Amino acid sequence: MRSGLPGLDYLLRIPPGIITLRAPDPNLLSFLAADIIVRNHCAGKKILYFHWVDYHKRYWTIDADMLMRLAKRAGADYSGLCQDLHFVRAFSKDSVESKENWAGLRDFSQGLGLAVLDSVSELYEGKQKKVVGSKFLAYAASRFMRICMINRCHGLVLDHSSQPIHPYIGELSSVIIEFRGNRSLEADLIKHPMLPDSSFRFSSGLQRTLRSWLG
Amino acid sequence: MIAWLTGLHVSGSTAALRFQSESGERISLVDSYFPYFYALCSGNHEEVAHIMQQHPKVISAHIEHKLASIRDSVPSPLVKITCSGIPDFDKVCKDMGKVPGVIELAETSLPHYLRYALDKGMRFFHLHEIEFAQGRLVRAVCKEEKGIPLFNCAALYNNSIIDSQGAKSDIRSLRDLCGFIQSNQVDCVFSWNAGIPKTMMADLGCIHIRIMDDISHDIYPDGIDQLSSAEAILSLGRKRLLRMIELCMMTGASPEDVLSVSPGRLNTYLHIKAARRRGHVIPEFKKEMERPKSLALLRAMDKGGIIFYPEPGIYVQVAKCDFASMYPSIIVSYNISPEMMDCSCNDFHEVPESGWRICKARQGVIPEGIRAVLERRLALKKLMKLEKDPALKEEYNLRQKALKNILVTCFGYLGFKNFIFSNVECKECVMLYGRHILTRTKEIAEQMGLEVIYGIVDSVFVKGGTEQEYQEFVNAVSKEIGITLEFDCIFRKIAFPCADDGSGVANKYYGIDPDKEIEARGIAIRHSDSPEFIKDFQGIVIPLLLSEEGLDAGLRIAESVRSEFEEKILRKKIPLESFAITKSVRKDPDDYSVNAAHVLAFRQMPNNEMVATFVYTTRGPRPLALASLQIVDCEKYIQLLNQSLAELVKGIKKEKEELKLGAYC
Repeated sequence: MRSGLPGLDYLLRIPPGIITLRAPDPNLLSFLAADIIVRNHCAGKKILYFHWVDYHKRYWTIDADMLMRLAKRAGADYSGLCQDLHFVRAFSKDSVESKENWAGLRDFSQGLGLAVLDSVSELYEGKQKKVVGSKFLAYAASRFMRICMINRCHGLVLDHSSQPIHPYIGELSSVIIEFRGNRSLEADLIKHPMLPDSSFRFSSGLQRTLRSWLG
Repeated sequence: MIAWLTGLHVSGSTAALRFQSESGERISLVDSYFPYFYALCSGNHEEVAHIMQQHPKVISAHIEHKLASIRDSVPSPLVKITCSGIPDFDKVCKDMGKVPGVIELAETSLPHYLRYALDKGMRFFHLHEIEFAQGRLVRAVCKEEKGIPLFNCAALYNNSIIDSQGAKSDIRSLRDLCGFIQSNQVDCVFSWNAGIPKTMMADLGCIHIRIMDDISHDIYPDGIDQLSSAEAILSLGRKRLLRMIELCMMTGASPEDVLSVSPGRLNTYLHIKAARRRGHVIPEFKKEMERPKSLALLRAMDKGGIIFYPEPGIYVQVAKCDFASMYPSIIVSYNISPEMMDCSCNDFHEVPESGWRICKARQGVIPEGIRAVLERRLALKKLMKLEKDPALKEEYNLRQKALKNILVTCFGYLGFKNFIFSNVECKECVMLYGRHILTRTKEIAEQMGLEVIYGIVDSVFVKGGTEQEYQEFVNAVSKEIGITLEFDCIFRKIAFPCADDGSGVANKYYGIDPDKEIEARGIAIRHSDSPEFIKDFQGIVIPLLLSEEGLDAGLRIAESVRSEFEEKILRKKIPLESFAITKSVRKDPDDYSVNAAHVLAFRQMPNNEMVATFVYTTRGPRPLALASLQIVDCEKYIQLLNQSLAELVKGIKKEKEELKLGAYC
């Protein structure tokens, strides 16, 4: 898996598994996800994007314009990307538990190259989105992981909640990177199969690039 | 006996019914009620039924054939389990979930009263032919909707209560209230926000309309600003009562539910009624999810309503035409319902731009529910137009407005993830049809030599014709589309100001209608948070700008009016109240990251209504009660005054220099 950000790419160079990116700023996560999507599309991979926010927020929380600009920058065919990138929207807690839905998704995901799980914190419990007792989340995350395992592909989990990471997501993830503050590329590496826990800072050039993209 | 059903409460294994006869007699009856639910099983239904029959709290468990899912057209076997009473219901449901072979349960969360009423074919505020003996209901047959019962209403205000007969009393405790209700045979109590226990009111057979809650669920609340006496509450309460009755009649929801749920939720009741009528079992949750879609498909399908942006300027003799209840009509006309999608038969509607097929051969559950409301509202509107008596006219108006709540939410609710029958693709179909219809309307106008200067979602503004030509145009569109395009009015003159970048803007215009009334959208005169004097100013200036003397003359006078207002501000000749700005505080003031003026004012004087009425002063924003004319921030209000003129004249004449916009902005 490649993000185009050399520092991040180094961290992501692992066998297929779940990579969790956490940041308080959803725009930063959207940017990183969009960049990773475009690069994986360029590598000819089929991508499935699980978008679990309420339908009323729609797919617009994924910035299609940003995808287009990133695709152009990477020299990718945007219309091809639009055909290859598939969305699964508006999972309600009840539909998460429905086996038929997951069976349908498993069939659909044959040959998948990357799965993105956006807004995982939407399935945290209660108004405060607490991590305790999130059985829906645990159920969904395990099904998500199964799809990734069947297809031997990477799964990217995006979490912008201010709560600590859900223990189950933490357990499933091979890599957890937690970005600090808004729109900065200072991050903590919480979990990695080869590297020790550490804090790191991306180059100032990358920071500038990021700021220019995110405004 | 013929009587209206006015109340229904279910508890234990008893349904308590309240009727009111045409002569005004109140009849309280009871009936047996044994709650039940269904179990969907993987295989051996007989065995599941046999196991459940052994349960001590189960009266019967047997196999019935029903439509188990919204998409089913052929009944399948289900186990129906009837319990001994409501207290045991949850326990039996829980135990049932443990029985081997049970996949899922259905209708466990259906309100008990609704189940009873649907099974018995009873409807709130409809006339029923009833037979009873010794206080028990023997038979009830729903006859018709005819008139409404004559309720004795009472209003509670500041520890005193009055009723419609003129009886008055001081209320110091719930016991006093109980006594008043019983002795005066009160059917309905209105209050602003009194905390009266629901169980107590149910026992008394009386409805409590807590107006504050009720209006919070109403998209079109009226007359809520004059509640300074019990009489005012009584008068407003009567209007709220009419709304409640109408919604109960149409949806089947109880008065208590209508008063406490959102208009969207009322759609659920409506569709449950339609689904039950067709033999569907009501699922517990929405389980079906949207199919995966490519980004290309999402961008093509998931679009909003279409907008034809206006070219900024002033236009003459412009006709405004609206489609009547466009989205609900589309749902009904094109049979848009989840179970009708992906039709494989030969009789289908093809959705524009998508190629999706919707079955024509049978009517869907959603259109069936919506059709009833749509037809009822049209009938009420017709009655309203024909009625000469102002009181009755007002009644019809209130009732049709109540139904509008359902119609304006039915489309959005189709995409709501927790609505049990929702389907995002249905919502997208409605939108695609809406876009297609407006585009076709524009084409028809052009074929008839007219020009659509502005169009938004369900309305078009057309120029270039006479009244007769416009009438011919709406007739032609209505005939071809199959949804009525109503000819609203002809604006003698109408102005479309521009955005800051000079482009045309949607939903921003002002015009003078044939009655010489101002109709405006998107400008200060329409904004609820504009100071009164700004509204007064625009009220004077708009007719000047659109006068027969022409724009230049109008502008000159408008400038002098502006100077007069500026002078008044500086000399403090405007009452303090006219400077006040009212805004809602939508969350805890401490949660605001930006200190907006209304939040700052609210922090100085918090209130339960979560509304800040404030004035800009030289010492910052202040609540109206703490402000005085001497400290009013004249500079700020002159700036607002200039902005209010600028937003009217921006772009309505091409030579912007001539308008000296810089002076106002």
